[in-house]
Amino acid sequence: MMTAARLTILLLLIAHSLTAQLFEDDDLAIKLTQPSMMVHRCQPGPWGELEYHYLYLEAPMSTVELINVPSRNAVWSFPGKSAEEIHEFLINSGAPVEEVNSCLEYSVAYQTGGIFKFFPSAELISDLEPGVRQTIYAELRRWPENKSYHSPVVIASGDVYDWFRNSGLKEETIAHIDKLSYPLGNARGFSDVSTVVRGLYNDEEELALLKALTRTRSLILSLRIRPDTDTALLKRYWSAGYKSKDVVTIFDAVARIEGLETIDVTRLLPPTPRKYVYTFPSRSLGVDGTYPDSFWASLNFFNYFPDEQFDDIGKVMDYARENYDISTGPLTFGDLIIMKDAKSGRALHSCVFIADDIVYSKNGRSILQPFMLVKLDDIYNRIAIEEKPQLEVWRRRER
Amino acid sequence: MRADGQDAAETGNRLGTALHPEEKNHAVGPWGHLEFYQLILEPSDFFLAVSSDLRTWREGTVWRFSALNADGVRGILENAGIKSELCDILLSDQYMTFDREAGIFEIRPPEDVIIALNPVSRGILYPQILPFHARNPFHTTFALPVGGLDKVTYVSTGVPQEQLDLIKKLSYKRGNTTQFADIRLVFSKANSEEERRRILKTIARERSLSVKLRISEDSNLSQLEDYWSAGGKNREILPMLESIMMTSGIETLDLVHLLPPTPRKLLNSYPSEDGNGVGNEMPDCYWTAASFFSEDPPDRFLDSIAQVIDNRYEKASRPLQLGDFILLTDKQTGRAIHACNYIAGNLIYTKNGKSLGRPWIISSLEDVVEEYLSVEEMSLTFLRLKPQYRK
Repeated sequence: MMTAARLTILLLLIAHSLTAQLFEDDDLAIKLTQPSMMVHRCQPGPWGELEYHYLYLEAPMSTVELINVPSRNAVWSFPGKSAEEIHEFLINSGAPVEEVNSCLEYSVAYQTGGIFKFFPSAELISDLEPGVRQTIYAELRRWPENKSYHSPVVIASGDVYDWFRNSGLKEETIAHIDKLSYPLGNARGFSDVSTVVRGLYNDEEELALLKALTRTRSLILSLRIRPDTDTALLKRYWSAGYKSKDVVTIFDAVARIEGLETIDVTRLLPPTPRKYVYTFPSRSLGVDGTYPDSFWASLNFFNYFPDEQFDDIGKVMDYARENYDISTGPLTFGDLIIMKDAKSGRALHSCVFIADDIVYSKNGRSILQPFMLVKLDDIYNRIAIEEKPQLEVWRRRER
Repeated sequence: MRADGQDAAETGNRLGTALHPEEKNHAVGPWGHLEFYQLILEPSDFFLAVSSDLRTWREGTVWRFSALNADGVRGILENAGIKSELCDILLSDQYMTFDREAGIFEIRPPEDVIIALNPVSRGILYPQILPFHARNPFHTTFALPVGGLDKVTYVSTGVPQEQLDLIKKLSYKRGNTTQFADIRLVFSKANSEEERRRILKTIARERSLSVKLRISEDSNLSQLEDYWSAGGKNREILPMLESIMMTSGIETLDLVHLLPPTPRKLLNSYPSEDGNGVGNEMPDCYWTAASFFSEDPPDRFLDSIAQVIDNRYEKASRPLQLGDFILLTDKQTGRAIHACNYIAGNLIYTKNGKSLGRPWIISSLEDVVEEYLSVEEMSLTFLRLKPQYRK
């Protein structure tokens, strides 16, 4: 299977038109665990000299306040399973027998009919070995009833401490999250909000936790301009064959300034992504009944006014076929990357190539997910939890 | 002139005419520490594509006047300060014809006469040249930058110096603004189509400012949030601002991240063929100022916005806030002349006119006032969205 880092390298190879090389796993230079405060540099390419800082975007408090704080008591739902089957599954997975027996006895006593609900104690949850937790949570993830397991917090970098740095969470809370986190594809997952809430002592701490858990890793990207920078080449790349005309204006303007060393890449985005990048969906974006998702964000990349028809996946693919061509050449600014389920061919996610291994994306329809610039790895790790998706690159036709 | 009323605020340098082109300037106040450079913007190729000048210049300079007879035309010329002997020549059959059907006299003045006119004469004569529609270069003139063409040509233009000198010679004053109308004459002297395109782009150049918020350990997040969220009207930027403040190593944040969605989308860009507009009604200063906090600006703002201002705005209390609506009016008549939005310090966000060749920019209030100072006394009114219209 292709790892996220291998995916990055693959895309870099495509982007640079280099000859494909084979890498052993040990050789893979995973960039994801570098501390967030460092300035990172992209591979040089037709996009110029790019550098970036990681940013962790948290949903605004007014949105976080819409989230209910979960009970301190966790619930694991097992639709269609009996108490005996659940017991067998948990023991076979490696959960501690005594704790399982004790929790099961308690759970049986409090069943109300319907789906069997298992009430794990905080001790059971805390005592699970990482591999055991991974196995059990993979099972729980199958059912939407287990909300925090079905849609876990994805720590795309895999580094819990780096992820929550400067979040306002206490060190012991971060350590608790780290202990309860588990491998999730190439990322780490976290589902045990209930258990962590047990260690908090007031509403303020609970809200801070919920806010921190909405974190998404983005990045702020700058293009360095040096006296000898060939702005004509950059203009060609960032205007995407003049599909994004404003860029020409800004490059021409910048080329006339001495002393301006960097351009924020937000200024180089077409009008619609420039309007939304780094923000969370506002209420007005949901007026038509649905909030924007990845397809809305990426297919509207070059549209001056967003087309609102992308709430139907069928229309998404129709639109792509009408306005884009499958591309096999080097990736370039504005290319649409569609991630598809390898078996069914169903489109799962899409994002837009910016440069190097950076894309513009919005994850899902949730108002807790911002429009952002992000590493392709981070997106891939999120999508590739169960199965590695198939990637397609589409290029907007000249208009 | 200081518009902000922020006692604690200071600007590192007076803006406007005092701003040295390549010098970094500063404004410090409750908005934080802003630093800014001057940008010179040129319209996109789309503007060239829709500009009629590149297609019609071969027709040459034609002065069209409505008059009862030739003496009426003479009166117009003499009133502009053109000497009687020269009038005789211009009114001769060699240069003047009469379209009886339309009742219009047409003069095709020789090149040396056009060049010899002084700016005062141009300022009197040109506004009377027909027809009064957009394709007449004497009606839809080029407004050169405040301070003249030199303000935007200190960096390479691709236009020969003698052409730039000719443009300056042919320019004239209207109120406080510098106008240029003799595009056909200048085009006729160009050596190539490319040179004509460069001339058009150069005279349409506009100054804007590239503004950045300086981030340091001394930055006060709470104060910055208070200022840039504009009383809750611009909350969308808070996650980004908070995130930036928590990230070590970032020294500056581009202003584009601190503006509401619509100005963020439009800043330093030109109106698009796909953009806001209904028929001939295109975004102008009023549409721009009224749309500052609108995520999806209504076309209604393309109409007269007197009602919008009356209903939605109230007098702004000091200190000024991000996005406050600044209305420039003729003090004597009360007629609205221009509108723009307050940003910080002496910086404002504006679009000057509804031309496709005018971008959305950050400017100094002084520059805007100077550009629109066409009346004896101008009054500035600072307005703020009423609470019920805040998000």
